[in-house]
Amino acid sequence: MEALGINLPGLVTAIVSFTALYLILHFLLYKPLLNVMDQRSAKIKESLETAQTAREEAQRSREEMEKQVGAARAEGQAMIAQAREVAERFREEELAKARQEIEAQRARAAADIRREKAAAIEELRGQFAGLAITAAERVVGESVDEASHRRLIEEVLDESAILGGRS
Amino acid sequence: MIEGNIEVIKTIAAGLAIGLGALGPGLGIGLLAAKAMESLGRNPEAARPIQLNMIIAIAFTEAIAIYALVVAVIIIFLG
Amino acid sequence: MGRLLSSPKVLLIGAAALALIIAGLAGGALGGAFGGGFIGAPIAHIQLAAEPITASPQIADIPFFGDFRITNTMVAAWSAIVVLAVISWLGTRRLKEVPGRLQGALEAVMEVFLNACETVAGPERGRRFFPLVMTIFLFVVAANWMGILPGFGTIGRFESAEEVIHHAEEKAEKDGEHADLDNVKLAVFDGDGFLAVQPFGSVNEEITGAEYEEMEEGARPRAGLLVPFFRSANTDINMTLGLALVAMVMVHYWGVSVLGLFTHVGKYFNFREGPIMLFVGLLEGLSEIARVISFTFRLFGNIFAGEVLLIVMAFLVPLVGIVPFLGLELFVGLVQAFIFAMLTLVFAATATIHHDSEGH
Repeated sequence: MEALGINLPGLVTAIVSFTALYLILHFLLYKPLLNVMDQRSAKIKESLETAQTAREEAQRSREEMEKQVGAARAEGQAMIAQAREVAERFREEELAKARQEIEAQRARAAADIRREKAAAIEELRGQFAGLAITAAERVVGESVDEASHRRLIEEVLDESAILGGRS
Repeated sequence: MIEGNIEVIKTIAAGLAIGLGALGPGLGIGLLAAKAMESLGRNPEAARPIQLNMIIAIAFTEAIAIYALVVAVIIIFLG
Repeated sequence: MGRLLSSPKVLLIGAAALALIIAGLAGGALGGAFGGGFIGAPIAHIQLAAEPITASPQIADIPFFGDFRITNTMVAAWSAIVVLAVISWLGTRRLKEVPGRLQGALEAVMEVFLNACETVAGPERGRRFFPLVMTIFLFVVAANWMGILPGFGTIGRFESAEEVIHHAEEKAEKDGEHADLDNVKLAVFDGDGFLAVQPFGSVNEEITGAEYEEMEEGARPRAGLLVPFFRSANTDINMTLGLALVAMVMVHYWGVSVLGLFTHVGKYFNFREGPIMLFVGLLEGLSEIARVISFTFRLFGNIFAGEVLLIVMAFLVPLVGIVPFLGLELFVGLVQAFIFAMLTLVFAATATIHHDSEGH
């Protein structure tokens, strides 16, 4: 044993030294570092869980939002359709009104024209009768009974196609 | 004659003890490493457990050589 | 490659390395066999037991305990402990949630062993085994790596030739023999005083005790032995045996505390399952003792052989011979520390397994 170098003092010193190192490292290294590592892993686990819940929350709110957006879009669509309908109706009303007005104006104009025409014919007829009587007096040379003449001409004119049809 | 050459005989004995004693474990460790490499080639994902177990098994195999070393040391220093 | 070779810096370094290698090969003991050997050092004194670093015979003589003397391996072990303590103090001084470099490195190492413990022994027992496993690893790896620092084994106390011869005669007297001074080898050292440095000169400057005695009083060289101040802690069997004992005692303590005294001891003295199981149990008990021996000598043998390898390489090829082997020793030191720690863990895990729950 002595030649190998094993002796009790050396052995005891080795064991005591190692035990001292064990204690030193236990208090100086393992305890604080294991604490920190455990804390960190707990924190990581916690934050992973938080992230998971946050992700789920985000998913949920996104679905909610999408639903809302869909609803809003539908509503908007409906509103647009309604507005278009209103506009259509409004346009048709206006169109009808305008058409009516145009019709009325045209009718008025037609009546005016007819009236003017009647007046012109009346005047023409009067002049033409006087002219005819004068011409006949010249031809005949004597004054015919004006009243009977005028009646005669009136008859002729009534029969004629151009100046008849007084309405 | 033996009386005078006891140191020489001791030296030869110690050399034989460690030399022959290291033969078996040497082969054993070689076989172990070969098999470990083989399984590593088959299944590279299992590198860590294979490595750990290989080292531990090598330590056990090596223990035989250590007994031979102890015997050699005893022959030289204590015999 | 071509660009690398054309760089003057690389060329210079390469030439210097080549010159060193040639000088080492020619100047060392290897070259000495062919007429060289101008720079080689004499082979360092290889001794199995740790040497006391103090010149006085003893510091304290305690009854039934033996004389206590501080050896160079104790000094190395204590320096390893101090280094570890300082590193862990620096690393945990300002603990941060986001670790700095030192804290990160320490955490990474601890993470590896914590994971190993929890894989091998389960989360609860793993946490219990972790401090011992980690301490064994850190101590062994620190001691091994510090053991190959320069200055370990090469700087020390000068033990003069008179002292060496006196010790040899004392020892021979105790065995009832005559001291064989031809076998007492002495190295010649430069300088004076109590300090000695591994000489770095001629390979052959080594004399025997008998030659020294024959020289005249005034013409004697400064011959003697170098007793290093530091020697790798695990080259002392006391240290490795102490580690092995602590590890195995703790393994059995855990076995008893988890299984109960009777179940644990019953594994080795099994009287219930017939003579064959009794024999198996006794064999297992014997193997527990063998485990202590294999723990002790595995670490001691590897590290001591590494030291001897370095000494021999420094003797054969000085300057450059030990460089590749320094790398080897770093690796061996790490692997041995890992094996010691892992085997402790595996033994602890198997000692605390309930045999009944395995269903046989």
